[in-house]
Amino acid sequence: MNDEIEDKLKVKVKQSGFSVPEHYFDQLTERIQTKVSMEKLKDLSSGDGFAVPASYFEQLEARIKEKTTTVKPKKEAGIFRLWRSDIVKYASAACFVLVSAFGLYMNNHHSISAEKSTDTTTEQTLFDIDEQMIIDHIQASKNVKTTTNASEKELEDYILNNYSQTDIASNL
Amino acid sequence: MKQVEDAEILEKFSNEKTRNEAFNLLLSKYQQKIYWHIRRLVIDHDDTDDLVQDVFIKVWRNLEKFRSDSQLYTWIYRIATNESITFLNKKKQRNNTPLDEVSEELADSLVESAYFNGDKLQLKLQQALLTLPEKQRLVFNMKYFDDLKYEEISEILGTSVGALKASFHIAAKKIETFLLNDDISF
Repeated sequence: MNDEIEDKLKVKVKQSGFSVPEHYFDQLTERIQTKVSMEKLKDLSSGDGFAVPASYFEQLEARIKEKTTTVKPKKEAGIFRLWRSDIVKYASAACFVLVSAFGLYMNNHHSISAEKSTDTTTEQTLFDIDEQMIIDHIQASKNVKTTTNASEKELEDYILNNYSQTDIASNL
Repeated sequence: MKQVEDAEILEKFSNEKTRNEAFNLLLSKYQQKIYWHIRRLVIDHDDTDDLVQDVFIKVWRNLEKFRSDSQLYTWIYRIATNESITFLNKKKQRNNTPLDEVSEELADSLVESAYFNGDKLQLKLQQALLTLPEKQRLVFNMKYFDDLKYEEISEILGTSVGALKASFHIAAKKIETFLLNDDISF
């Protein structure tokens, strides 16, 4: 019965449908041979021939532990008392108030004297300048003002006398 | 002695009171495996000694942040692998030497080392390994010496299982050829 079914199936499904990579069987022999060679090599020489100094691994473990798990205890931070007695505490406070007050006073005094000194310097500079020089300076300023008030006729004459027609045309 | 489970280590580490105990358990479980993993990559014992300490200091500092979506030992292996590759790259840059010369230097140091007492075949195998590119050497070491599964190596290196299988095969083929060229039959 079973054979009958098998035969029928074989007629319908001729191949399993599996496939292998190209040239697989050509390389398979070589692959197996190489594996066999490696197995032979392993049998001939077990191990790799490397050695370590005596008791190396015991020491290695201790050295690694020393660098990792052995945590050095942290030094507890000490408390330093600034004031050992009440007298020193109040004396320090008094000194602080005095020094602060003195500093404040000196700061204000310095600002006032700086202001005063600036005023004095200006007065002194003016005092040093010759009186006649100041008069001349004021007079000169007046002259400049007068000239700016020249009449249009005067300005026209000045331009015509001093500039060519080309200059005037190019500046217009 | 029965080895403690990673889950237990992590649970103990999360508690401040049992943290040191957890780290001691982790060290006992993994220090030798990690040492040998690094040693096979950097060859020199003193360099390995420095690196293995750096790796476990990193583990100590970051274990609290470790998320259990990857396995603890693959996470430690990944740290160790990255530290070793960084070290080898720095060595290349420092000496301004190309990769093959660094490999030659390492192969020479193997012969002179006081801490290499392998036989002729073991020495030849290490020399053959040093001719491989770093990635192939890594895959070969993890598969051949550490007996890790491809899935585990894949998690450590972030490379697909298929690519790892191909890398291992190429490495094994090169080693076979190297040894046969040296008249070593096996």
